[in-house]
Amino acid sequence: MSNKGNDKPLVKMVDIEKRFGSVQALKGVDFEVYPGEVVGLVGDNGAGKSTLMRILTGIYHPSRGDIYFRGEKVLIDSPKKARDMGIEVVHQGFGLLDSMTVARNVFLASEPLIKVGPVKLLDMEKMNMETRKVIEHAGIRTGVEPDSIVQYLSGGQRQAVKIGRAIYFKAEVVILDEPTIALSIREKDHVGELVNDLRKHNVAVIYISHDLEEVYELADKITILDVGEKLAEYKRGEVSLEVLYDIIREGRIPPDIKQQNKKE
Amino acid sequence: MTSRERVNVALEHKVPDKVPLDLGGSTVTGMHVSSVYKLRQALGLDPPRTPVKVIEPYQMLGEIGLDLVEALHVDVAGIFPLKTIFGFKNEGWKEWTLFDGTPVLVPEKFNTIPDENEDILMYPEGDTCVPPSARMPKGGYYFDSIIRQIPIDETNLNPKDNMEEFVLLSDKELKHYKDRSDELYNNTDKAILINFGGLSFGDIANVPAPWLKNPKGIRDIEEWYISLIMRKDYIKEVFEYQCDIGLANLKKLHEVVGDKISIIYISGTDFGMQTGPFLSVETYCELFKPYHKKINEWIHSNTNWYTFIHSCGSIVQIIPEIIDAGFDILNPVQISAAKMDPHTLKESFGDCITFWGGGIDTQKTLPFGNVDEVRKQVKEMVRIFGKGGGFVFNSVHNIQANVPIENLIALYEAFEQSRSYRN
Ligand SMILES: Nc1ncnc2c1ncn2[C@@H]1O[C@H](COP(=O)(O)OP(=O)(O)OP(=O)(O)O)[C@@H](O)[C@H]1O
Ligand SMILES: [Mg+2]
Repeated sequence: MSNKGNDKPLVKMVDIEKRFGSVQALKGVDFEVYPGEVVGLVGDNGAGKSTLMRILTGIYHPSRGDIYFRGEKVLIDSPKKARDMGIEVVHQGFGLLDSMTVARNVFLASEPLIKVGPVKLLDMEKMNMETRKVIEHAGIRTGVEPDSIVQYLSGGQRQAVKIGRAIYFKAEVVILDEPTIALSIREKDHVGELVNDLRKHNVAVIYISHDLEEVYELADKITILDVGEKLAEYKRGEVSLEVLYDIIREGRIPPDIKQQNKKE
Repeated sequence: MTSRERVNVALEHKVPDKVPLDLGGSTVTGMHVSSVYKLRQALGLDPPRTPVKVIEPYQMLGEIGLDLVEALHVDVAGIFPLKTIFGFKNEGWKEWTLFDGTPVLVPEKFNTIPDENEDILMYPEGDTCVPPSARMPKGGYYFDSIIRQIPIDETNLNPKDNMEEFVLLSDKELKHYKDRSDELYNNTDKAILINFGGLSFGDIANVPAPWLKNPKGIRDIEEWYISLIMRKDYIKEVFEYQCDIGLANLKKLHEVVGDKISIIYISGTDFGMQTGPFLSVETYCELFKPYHKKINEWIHSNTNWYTFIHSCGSIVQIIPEIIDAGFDILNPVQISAAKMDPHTLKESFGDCITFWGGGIDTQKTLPFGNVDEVRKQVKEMVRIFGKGGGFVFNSVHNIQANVPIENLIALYEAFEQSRSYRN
């Protein structure tokens, strides 16, 4: 796996502002993610996490600010544009069409608009073969076959299919918004493995969760938003989990660790 | 330009930066919940199988949430009454599934019982002990009223029986309107449209009174139409009373919402059919216009609100009277009906009334046309109706279920591409 270009941010969002009437959901936020980097995006309810990601995925337009992709300024004005650029969202839990097979899901995706992939939809044999690769990519070991019906899969297996698909179709950025909210502990562990797998494939991962412990364990970098502002950003191990809890609870950085704050 | 400014400028018949867009601002400019679900999924707003709220259970309209408003660049946000047309409140949400499998949320009191044909029966106030007031046929997408007509005794007809539903707004309702208008005014930049029942004279959606457990008077739609010709005094007495209560309510409403709202929905009575008006211009002028005039005059001398009238069908002959009655906005501009040619409408009436609708035909083009036909019509209507302002884009009436998702996406994409006045 080539890690060429990993020293430059894959996505760079600069001074992003978003207003809804008099509510300022984002007040000039900078955000970056590098290839193969897992960024934990955390913050209290209403901090602006989803809004920031909706801007990155072309659902919302920013009121101000720029987005750079591989160093080039881009205009992401529709969800389709974001997908074409390789920015994928993997939603929690049941991210697939229940009554269809894994293979159909991989190639149809759950969104009716995407018809990705090199394979003609009705070429079942080829579809099954490619799906097997997806399953392998996702590292699912037991019980999932291309012709398994999705409704009998566990939550974790469903996640795996989606993430495997993202890798297979060469997603460059994968956004997981509260991916483990409906999962069992074992399935959560599995999502962890899948995130590591994405990292290995040099995919940039943005991981949004209220489960700080989980984020702390997985993320290479943690960005903390607070009422629309970037409060702080820490690389793995720079602060303890306890301090992170304190910062989010207080909405400010305790004076004794202020010098470690990377944000100028 | 904020959305609110954009809409207001268009309503002043001036040219804003872009043609304003409405979706979901009223119960006649919305979208069936099944289509809302598909659109939300396609835009990636929700994880799959996330249910969408049904905010109007009669036509089964889906909630156009603020996130969807933002994603589609909608400029209007609606405020709806506390209670639905079935007399229960829009609260206490529970899961329900449409015949087509769409997962939705319905209010707690949305209590239905299937009949022997597997049609679904709906009950006033959710009370399954009284006779049902509406029915969704098996495989259907919305409800039809069940006519509950007590046999009419011509000698004993009492107009009071048709006045039961017109009452003064309660403090609870006023607080609801105040809270919602504050919320939308402060937290969004959208133009606010208030859907306030009770001002629509003789709306046949309301005549059967599906919210009443025991409706009296004239409740059969056919009988109602007969009454417009044969029992004019009865009708006038009902309208007179409705108008007095309506004016009193408008005063109360204005005290709590002030000029935070931009538009008020007044009338949803259909005056037209596919081929022509239901009733003569004379009948409109005799039975409806005096009350419309009173309502519009009060609003225009006491508020900054613009008034909204909806009437389906071919109504070209009646439009001059509607304008003279003081309405500012005409909806849905049914371009597929006889004589409703967009060019002629714009040329004849475009200076006097704002067209709110007419953007895409929802009977044929949107559900059955292809993507190119959808795009073409959207661009053409924006060009024709948009000229010089006085246009808010919306489909011709609510967008129904069973619209291909490609067409929905094409509709909003094409609109986005053509709405700018700056090129
Ligand atoms: N479309 C919208 N219209 C109006 N306000 C919005 C819209 N979307 C978000 N907001 C507001 O923006 C702010 C940020 O919301 P956002 O959903 O981004 O927060 P979040 O960090 O994802 O919160 P949570 O952890 O609860 O998911 C909130 O005040 C929210 O009410
Ligand atoms: Mg969120």
